[in-house]
Amino acid sequence: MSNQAPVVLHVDDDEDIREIVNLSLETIGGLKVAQCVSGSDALSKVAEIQPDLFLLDVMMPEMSGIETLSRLRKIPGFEKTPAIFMTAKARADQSAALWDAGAAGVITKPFDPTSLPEQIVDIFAKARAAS
Amino acid sequence: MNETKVDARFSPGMERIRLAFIEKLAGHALTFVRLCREIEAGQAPRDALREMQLLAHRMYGVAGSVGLPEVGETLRQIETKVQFGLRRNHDTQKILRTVRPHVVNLGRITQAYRYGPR
Repeated sequence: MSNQAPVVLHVDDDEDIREIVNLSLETIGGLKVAQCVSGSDALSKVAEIQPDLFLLDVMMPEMSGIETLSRLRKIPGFEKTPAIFMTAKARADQSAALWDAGAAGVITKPFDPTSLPEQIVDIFAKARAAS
Repeated sequence: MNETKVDARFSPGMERIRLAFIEKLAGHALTFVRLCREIEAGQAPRDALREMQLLAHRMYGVAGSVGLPEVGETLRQIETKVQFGLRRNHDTQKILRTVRPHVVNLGRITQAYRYGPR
């Protein structure tokens, strides 16, 4: 990636959350957003989208966010793509599992759509600097 | 980035999402009432409680994000109390007693958002 805005691959089964995140990241953050409705949807489209960052809901039917990330990481070219988890459960035990799964950051729902882009860009910058 | 243009797109977009969510909320509030009745009648009450927990969990994240904190807090109470009761294997009627006031409150808040306070 150059100085262009990062391309975010957002995966969430909830239509309302997808709408809010898309509106927030595109209009406030000026980010490019591609969205998928499930982990399997993301796995089939990731090569085409070529994201710089994964933004994954944790609790999804069929395939959780953690499982989705694990599978995305096995696809050549995406082994080190930074990942942020979004979760409505901020319990300490679950947070630990998210960090263990390789999260660059964790964002708790509900979130403030006006500050979400800044949070994401900040996490992304730190992850890039660390790699 | 042109901030005036960004604001012009963002605020109406959020308002549209918020209004659509309030409309969905009315349907979900009725679902909570139906699930309460199923639990009360002993119709697969643990399944009904799990459905209630999942629905509350899903809606909670959206409610707070579209600026409906009172709805979000009520949903969080429903999710937390069902989760607590199921984890400790409490009697389903006992769990229902702790949850029902919040379901009633959700219906009241929903009506207030749709039609204004009465």
